[in-house]
Amino acid sequence: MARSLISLGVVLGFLGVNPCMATVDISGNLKLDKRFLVTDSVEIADYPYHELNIELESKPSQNLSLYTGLKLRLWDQNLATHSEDLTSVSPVYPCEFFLWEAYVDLYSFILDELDIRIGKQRIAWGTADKLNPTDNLNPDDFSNPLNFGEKVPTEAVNATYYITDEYTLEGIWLPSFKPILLPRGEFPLLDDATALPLPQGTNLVESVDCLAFPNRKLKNSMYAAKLSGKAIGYDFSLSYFKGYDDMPITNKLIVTLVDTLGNVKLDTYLGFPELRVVGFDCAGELYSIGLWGEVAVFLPEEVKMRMEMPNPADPLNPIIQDTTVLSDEPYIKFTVDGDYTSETGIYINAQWMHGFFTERGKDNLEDYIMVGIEKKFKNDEIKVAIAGGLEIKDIEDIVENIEEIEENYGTVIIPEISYAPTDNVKLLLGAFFLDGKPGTLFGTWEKQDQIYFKTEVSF
Amino acid sequence: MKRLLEIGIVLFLPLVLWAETPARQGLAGGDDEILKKAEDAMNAPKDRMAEIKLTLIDKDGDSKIREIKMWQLGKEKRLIKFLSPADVKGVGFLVLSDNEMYLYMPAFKKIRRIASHAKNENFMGTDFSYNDIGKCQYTKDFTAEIKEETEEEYILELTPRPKSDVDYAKLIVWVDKAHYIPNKVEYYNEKGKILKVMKNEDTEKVDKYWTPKKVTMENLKTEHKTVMEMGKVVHDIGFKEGMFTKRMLKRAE
Repeated sequence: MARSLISLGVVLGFLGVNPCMATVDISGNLKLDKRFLVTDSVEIADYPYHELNIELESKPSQNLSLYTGLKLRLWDQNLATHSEDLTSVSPVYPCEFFLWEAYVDLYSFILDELDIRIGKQRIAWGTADKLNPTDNLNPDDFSNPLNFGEKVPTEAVNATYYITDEYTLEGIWLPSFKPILLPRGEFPLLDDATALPLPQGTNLVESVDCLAFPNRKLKNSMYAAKLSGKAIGYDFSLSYFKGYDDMPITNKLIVTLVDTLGNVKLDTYLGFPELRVVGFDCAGELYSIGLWGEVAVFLPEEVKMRMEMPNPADPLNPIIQDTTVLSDEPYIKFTVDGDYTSETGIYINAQWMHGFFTERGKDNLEDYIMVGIEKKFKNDEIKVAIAGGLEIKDIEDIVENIEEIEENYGTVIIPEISYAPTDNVKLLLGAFFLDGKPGTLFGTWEKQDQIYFKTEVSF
Repeated sequence: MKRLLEIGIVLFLPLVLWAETPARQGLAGGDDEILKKAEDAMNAPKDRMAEIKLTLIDKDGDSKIREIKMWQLGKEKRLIKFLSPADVKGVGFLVLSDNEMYLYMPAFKKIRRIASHAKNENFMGTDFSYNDIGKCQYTKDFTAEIKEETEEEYILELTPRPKSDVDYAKLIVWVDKAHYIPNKVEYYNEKGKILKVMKNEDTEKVDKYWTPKKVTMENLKTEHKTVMEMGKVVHDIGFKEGMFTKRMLKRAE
């Protein structure tokens, strides 16, 4: 015990900390989010949640900073199914309270030019606006899938060495793998294994899936590095990531007969393939127009899916089919982004993205063109914005194959008005209108047309 | 007679040409010197740290307050950190040059480069533009001509230089003869209509430099104004270039 206290004293002394002087700064916000689906009849959406964020920050010395972010999410869902459930708060008011972020910053650690951040943290890579193909270190948070670009902070050691004022080398070690967070309720996001064609005359009565994570061994740690700098007036970075895809992929399907009536059970096994990503991004301007670009070359592990089905001719020897569901052929995702503010104060942002968050594999990437326009009034108290998006299979079709676009397109329109009646309070009213042909992303979400009302209060 | 005319032209032409020289027009030297002196007076410190309170007052008299801390090196390099209100606390803004600006948003843990189209935008809902905050650099974009001179002030008319990227067609600047700090600036559009008025008040010496402790920017169209009050101001601290980097944008407080 005495030795531990002495060690702690030495470390604190090294960092110039006077524990008696450390103060904790508390801040946070409350975000209320209510969404109404308006496709057939008006329904309250299941997946949105209200959120309370509490942030604690302390800087005991010039070279030490501590940060903790606590998050409480409350869903407007009723999970009670039996009268017994009504005796408890949690089924009726489902909520989760968790440590969202918790890290220590050690500035000028050993070397003047070295900063280290240790702990559960968000490492945001990429220069584009929200849709960042090079941002792969933290898993996606699709708890609310329409909050595009949300990520979950994960445990990491992040060392940044400032080579010069303009050049930086970042090295990151992520000891363990964490997967994507998916929405509650019904929201089509991942491939549905139960949609696979079953043998004729069979009827699916039960479906179970099982996730297999990478072993928690040191050799399965993830790591990344990034070199950032400046050239010809542009900021740029080159990055490399070795880890795992945070989205599960089916690698085994077993269809079993449960009776003689043709009823079957489906067991789905999902894994997380290894993934390496080489990235490049840049940011700058041309004739006052802001420009951002990101390119990520994905080098995936090949995934083969084995499907076992009952063999009516030989019940002891099921039919086995192996298919490649993810090729190891490299594929490229990229984003090109530009923005401009006119003399009249109208802000325009346009983005061309090749490959959405959930898309993978060379032949499965689509093109998305997003354009947003916004204008602020009354010294930023009121903001009116509208964004629109077009999803097409391939941008070259605009010139070469317009019929293809007519057959395979998706659209999204997002109007929004926000009002800040006073400092620290923001009210938002907006909508998502989605449409698309079958097989497109926006097409699969077309039943998610919605109107939302959000309130954000900071303290 | 013809001969006399030729002699007259020879004698008077240089005078006519002199009357139209750039110096006389304020295109190089001349009235520009006063503007340069005003700029030099405002930018005299090598560096500066200031704690600033911004009060936003609308036409009904309702007010909002923002507090910022600003570090400045030379004429251009600025680092600004928001201290309050809570919804912008921790947001950082770094200016390295006219076309190199960065915004740090702690909620996203991300630094974003801002293109120069944004520099004439309102600075966080105030009546100052991003370009106005902590910056006094007129000679680069404007030429000056004395319109009037009183016992206490030079009144200069500033017009944009060709190809300069400014939102105003004309500025009228009242320069105090005592210390060359501008007391007042009026901003005009192309139709000659006055858009904004800035007043520097309570000018006093801080660390041997004349410093306006209160700056008011009023937007005459919206009848909204912002009062910038300097709290603690320290000059010539000895900031190095390394203070104005993305590293410090995240760290500074």
